[in-house]
Amino acid sequence: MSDRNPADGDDASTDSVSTAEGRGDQTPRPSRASAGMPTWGLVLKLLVLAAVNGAFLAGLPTMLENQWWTGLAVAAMAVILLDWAYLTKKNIPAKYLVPGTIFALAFQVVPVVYSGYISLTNSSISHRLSEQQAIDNLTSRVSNVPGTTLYQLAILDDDGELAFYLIDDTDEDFLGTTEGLEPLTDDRVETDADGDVIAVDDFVVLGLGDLADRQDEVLALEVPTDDGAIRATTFSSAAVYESLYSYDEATGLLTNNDTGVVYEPIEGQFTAADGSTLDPGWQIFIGFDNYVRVFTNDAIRGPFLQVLIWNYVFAIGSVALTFGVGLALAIALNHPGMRGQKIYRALLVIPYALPSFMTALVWAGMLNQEFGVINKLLGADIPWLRDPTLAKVSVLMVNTWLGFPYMFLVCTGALQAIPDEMKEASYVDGASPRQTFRRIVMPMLMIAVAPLLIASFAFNFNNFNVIYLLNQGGPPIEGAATPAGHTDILISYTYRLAFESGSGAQWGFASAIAVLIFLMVASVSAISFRRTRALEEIV
Amino acid sequence: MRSKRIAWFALFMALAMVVAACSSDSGDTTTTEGDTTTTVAAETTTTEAMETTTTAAGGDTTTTTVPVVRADADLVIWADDTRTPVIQVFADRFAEENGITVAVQELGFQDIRDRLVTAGPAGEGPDIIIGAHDWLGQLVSAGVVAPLDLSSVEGNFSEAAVQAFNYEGAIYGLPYAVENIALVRNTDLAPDSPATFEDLVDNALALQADGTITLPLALQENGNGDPFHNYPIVTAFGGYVFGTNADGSYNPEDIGIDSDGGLAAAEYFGELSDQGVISIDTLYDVMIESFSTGQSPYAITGPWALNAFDEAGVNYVVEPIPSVNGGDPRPFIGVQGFMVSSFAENPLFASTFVLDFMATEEAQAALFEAGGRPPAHTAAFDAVAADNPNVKGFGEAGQNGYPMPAIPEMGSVWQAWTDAYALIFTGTDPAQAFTDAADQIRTLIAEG
Amino acid sequence: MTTTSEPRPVAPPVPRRSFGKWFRDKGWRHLVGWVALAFALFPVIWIISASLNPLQTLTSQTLIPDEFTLENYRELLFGDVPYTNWYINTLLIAGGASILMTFMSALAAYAFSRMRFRGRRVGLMSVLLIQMFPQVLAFVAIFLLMVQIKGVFPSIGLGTRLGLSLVYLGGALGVNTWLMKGFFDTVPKDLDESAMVDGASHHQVFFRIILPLVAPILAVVFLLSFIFLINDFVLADAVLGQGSPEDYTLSVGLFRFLNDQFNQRWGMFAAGSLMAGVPVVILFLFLQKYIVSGLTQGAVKG
Repeated sequence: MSDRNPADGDDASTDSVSTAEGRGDQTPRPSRASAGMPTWGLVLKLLVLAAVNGAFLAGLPTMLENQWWTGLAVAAMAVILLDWAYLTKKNIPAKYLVPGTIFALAFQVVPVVYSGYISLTNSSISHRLSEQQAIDNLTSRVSNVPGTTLYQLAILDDDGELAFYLIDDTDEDFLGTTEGLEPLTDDRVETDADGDVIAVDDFVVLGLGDLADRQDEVLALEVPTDDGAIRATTFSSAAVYESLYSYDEATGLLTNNDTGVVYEPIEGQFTAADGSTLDPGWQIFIGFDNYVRVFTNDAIRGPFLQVLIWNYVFAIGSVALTFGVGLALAIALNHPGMRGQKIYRALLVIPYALPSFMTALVWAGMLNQEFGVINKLLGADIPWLRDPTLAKVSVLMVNTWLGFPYMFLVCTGALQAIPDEMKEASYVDGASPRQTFRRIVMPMLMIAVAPLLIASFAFNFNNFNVIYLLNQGGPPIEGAATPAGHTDILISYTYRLAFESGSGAQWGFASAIAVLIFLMVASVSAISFRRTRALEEIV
Repeated sequence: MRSKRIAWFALFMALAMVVAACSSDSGDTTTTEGDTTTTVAAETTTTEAMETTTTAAGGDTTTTTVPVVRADADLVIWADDTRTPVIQVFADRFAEENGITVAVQELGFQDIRDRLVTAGPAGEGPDIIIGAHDWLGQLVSAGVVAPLDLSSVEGNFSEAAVQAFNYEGAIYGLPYAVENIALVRNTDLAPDSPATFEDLVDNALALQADGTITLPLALQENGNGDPFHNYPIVTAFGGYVFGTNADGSYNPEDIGIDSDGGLAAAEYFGELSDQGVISIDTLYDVMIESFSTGQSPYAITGPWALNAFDEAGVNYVVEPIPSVNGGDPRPFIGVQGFMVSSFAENPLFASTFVLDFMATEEAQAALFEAGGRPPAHTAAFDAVAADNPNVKGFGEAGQNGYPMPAIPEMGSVWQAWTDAYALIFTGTDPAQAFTDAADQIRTLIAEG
Repeated sequence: MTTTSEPRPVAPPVPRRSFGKWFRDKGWRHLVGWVALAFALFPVIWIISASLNPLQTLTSQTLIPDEFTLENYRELLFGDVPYTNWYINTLLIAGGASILMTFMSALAAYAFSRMRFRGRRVGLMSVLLIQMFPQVLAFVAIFLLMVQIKGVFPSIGLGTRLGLSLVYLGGALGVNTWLMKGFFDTVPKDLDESAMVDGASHHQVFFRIILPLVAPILAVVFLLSFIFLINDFVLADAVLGQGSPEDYTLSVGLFRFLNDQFNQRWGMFAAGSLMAGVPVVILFLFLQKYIVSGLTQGAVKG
């Protein structure tokens, strides 16, 4: 057999890329003669391509302006891929692969790469901002100077120049500008019939609605006084404030105006000489520190082995049980003369059709020791979710319930793919149904299903939702170094460490864990694939 | 052949340019949407929001009753489902008086905190959120909330409530409600106020013995153990979660779960569980159900449960939890309030709305009506408490409570402590369970 | 079609019924079916009962409620909750996206099954492995991505239903591609090769010969994608979660019901989830003939 695609290098077929009109024709006759007329297929193709190219061009200025390089790179790649695949006549596989690849690139690969990038940073709840955002946050902190006046405020505008009209607690009024505070005389203030001030000198009073786009200007307006600067508190009140921190751009140092303590930016955080730090810090690149931390972390090492073993039992057990039940049902209900097959099948899909976060919670309620319906019906007091062993059994049972319809559907579909001739041939050769199943049906089925089993293993290996919704990983392991449960799997256990320990969510650390678990699962899967490859070569 | 290709290419480029031209048109209107553009422009650019965009851009006075994504309103507020309708009323008024647009977006209560951290810095966050004071540790260190100067209204509020929003020397929120748990007693089953917790237990067990009730004390344990609801009993024995510094702030180095008081409390929980006074299976549902149906004479719960009790028509009073083992039970106090995002697009609108509109007695009373939590506004509280004994009862029970620690280290406590209770309730040595929990928390904090 | 003279392992004509024979042939199948139904439907009956129960708690409920009420359904369909909007959104988004996903997946499966090209094996491996990455930051990553997209193309960015559909298309290549490829592999290659010899082009082979033959697996993949998308919460919440409630999908809307622990609405939640399952069951009933009927056999012979 040639390794080449039969279509490859076939002049007639490659040329017909541009002559899609033969589609409705029973006997396709690709002909060069018809290439002169644009066909609807071609027009559609060009329209779509033109739309994509046009959208890219239209979005280009904004992407440049926003400095969104990732988007630009992915979008450019997508457009180039599309044009390359559909505007040239070679690259036939590409014509089939490019659409899915582009979406996978944008919405699967980008998030994964993002996680990988985050795992190399110190990203956490207190290191989430950019450096500039953190500096802005700290320097914008002001405190009300104790014992100073609270003013009533109206905001004034003279052709774009803002000023404050202020009334203090003794009813004296002032004009506040960047120059300072200036007492006003009545003749400079214009009021309307109700006595509301509407203008001061050339300044007119602004309504709150006029300020929708000028907030920063108003907030930046500081009227200097001896005690501090008068700034707007709300639209109608002002007070004297002093800034808590001042930042020196030249040196990069931050000074506390109150105490005089100087903070230096170290490792993504302003740090004083005595080691005390200011929140928020900012996100910086820290290389492989998070990975090192995973391996040297006492907390993780605690019940790690126990959790890891259960993780494998859970993942393999879930696959085996869902597949076993699903396949058995698919075979049992795959019989032409059987009445009610359709109803059986339709009803069996229901567990899969309901939102799993709901059904997992319902199971948790049903398995409740004291109030659960299962114990009530059995008249028993069985600690389904409290006893370490029973809890594991329960988790597996619930996960089987949630997952068997998937396997049932897949097996039902895959069984149809096996040509009856092959089975018939086997019968003719004198094989029993059981032998036929073992020798013909099963191997054929496995070709289609083996990759799914591997994927299912990977999915269940990280099936956080079921573990969490059913029993939060419980019951707890007695005397563990860090909180861990008997049904905790790696991902639920380590994420708890990443999100609940110390100062809260640590995305960098969590991402490093995710990458490591991915490597673990992926290598197990890759090894399994070598076996499916062998299977594939048979056919 | 060659010329045909060129013709195709020309056609293709022409099409591309047409599409580019069309889409860049809509792109332009987007960038100018913030200015005072016409209604038509706003509509064409928000086709995806379709029927929900009822607002006109610019200085129109309509308000969005249904919020769309950020930036379609001048002021965006995030609130939970209980508070949204109330805030909406004031938001509409604010919008109308000032000719701006205000949107109130409804999110799950915890969702508000989690989303703000991501959405704020990305420019998709709100101007104002409602939230609990114990979020401050996270929100401040994430840099997503801005200090709020309460000087003009501070005097009208309970000092404790205002101080709860003080984090590292600055105030970050306007409180609107104070909540804590208390004893809720069924006055038909238990007509007398118990003098001590031990009396309560004896009385409840007697009722259980003669078959009147099934669950002596409806204390929510959520199937595992609930450190929040158990805290008053822990404190009565002298246990605590974090010690305090001289200035009253919590000290994460001093963990009191395995202090002598904490261990004594652990033993007592073991006893209560063995006697069947409390049950690990008391979920929130179960607590509500058993108290509502008279299967439980006592419940320890908060104001959020009263609606269900009222609907069931059970007669009850709210009072402080009586002394346990001679010690005073002190519940955690949670304060809810309005906070302004440090990434607010219109911070002045935000502070004006919070301080001028939501700090009033009227607004605070309206929020009480919706959520049942005692108002933080003193006059509103007095007015409500005067004819509502339940509010008074919760207020008294919270008199000596401790504010829920806002420091981020509190995040390391919950799971470990919950596990410890779960182990006690399933037969582990109580003191050992608390000692292990305290060690786990120390490890977690050290590794953080 | 097969001739009756050949042994038919699947449906031997049974002239007379003896119970033993019937049981060996079909009866045990019904037994298995009933046991499976009991296991599958017991919790569902429980949910149905909750949806008809005026009490809004899960644990206090009995299997047969003391009173029945349709209030939960009425409230969802005609009350303040925009449940019908969620329903329509979900059907449109999940329906549209799963059709496209199935199509793109079939395209790729065809290439992987029938063509040999550089990077084929790596490509096959990658589509499966990429989906194994733990989704811890998926929420954050997708959210930030959609914020950026919103800045450039507002109509497909954060908060839009179209945007969510596009995000879903990112999962088109994956396990399902493998499932289809496995199926494609079982379609004899002689078929398309002889068509090629007759002068058919690769896309004619794909659309006219392969696709009709693999209809069962297209139906399976479409159904699986549809179910997956209907149940998806994480991505839908990331994209639509802070938009307008009218734009939610069912899973986002229903989850919000549960989110406030002091405001549990089990009955409504149960009713809402049950109704969410209805389209899937109907779709399955409708697709069953494609999934189950022996199309392969007939077509191969024809």
